[in-house]
Amino acid sequence: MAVRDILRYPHPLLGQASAAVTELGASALETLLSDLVDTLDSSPGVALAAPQIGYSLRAIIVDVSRERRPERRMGHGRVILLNPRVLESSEQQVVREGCLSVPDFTGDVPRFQRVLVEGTEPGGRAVVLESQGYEAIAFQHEIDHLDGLLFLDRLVSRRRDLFPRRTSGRS
Amino acid sequence: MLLIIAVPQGAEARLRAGLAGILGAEGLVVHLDSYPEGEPQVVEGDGYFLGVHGADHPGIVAAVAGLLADLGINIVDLSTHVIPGQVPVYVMTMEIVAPQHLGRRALEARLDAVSKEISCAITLHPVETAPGL
Repeated sequence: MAVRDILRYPHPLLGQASAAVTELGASALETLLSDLVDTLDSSPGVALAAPQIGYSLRAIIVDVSRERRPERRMGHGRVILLNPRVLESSEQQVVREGCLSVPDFTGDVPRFQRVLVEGTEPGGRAVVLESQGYEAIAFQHEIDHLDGLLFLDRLVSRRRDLFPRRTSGRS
Repeated sequence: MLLIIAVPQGAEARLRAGLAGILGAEGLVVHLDSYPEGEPQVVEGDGYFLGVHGADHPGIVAAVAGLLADLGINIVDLSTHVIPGQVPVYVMTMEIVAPQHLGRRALEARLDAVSKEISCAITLHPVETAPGL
């Protein structure tokens, strides 16, 4: 079990595009995935991307079933995806996001309400997932991390859309 | 203009004197107040944007804020504006945090009653939040 430190903005790794994961089954990948799981489980969050724990590789974990509020838990449970990308998306809504790598602020950013995400499971199986609501937002947020983007990069107006963290959906 | 600045210990008196010298000559007014220490308080609950508008008259803020206080709702942001004209229109926007047990429908029903009482339109939109990413 290895709980890694979650990198905080402005760590340079958070601004870099991550490399595709190409060698499935390699022991380095096993370590990365167990670190993602262990770090998420010891964090207050519901999702993490590999660059947030120091690996510049395209891997994410999303698990909205960890969420305290029942109405946000709907989705696919624990999902680990390699090389994920958004295939299709629906109309946008504005969402006030927080990020474990930017812990003191929240920001209003546009996100798609529903997305179709494709990726590869750790076992090598290609999957396509339809997701909506909180889970869809989580996928978009984590895939952004793989492209070196934070919610800070998606703000329309710094003056109007960026806030010190003042409300919380978690206890 | 509103600035938040950090002043070296013991330099406040010199800053005040200096500002008075510059700004006084220009006919400008300056207030210098110390900012309270400590972390911002994180409020638990459901976030909403609340909008109020109607013909300006005394009591709009009191009626809305009074209801919110009665319901245990926190106002975390507020701005107001008067649109001048033959009938000046008062516009107020708020961000509020309501206790989770209250629920949107109950809140809308209470706001509806206040809306009629003060002859102003009141709108309520949930703030979609995704905190744990």
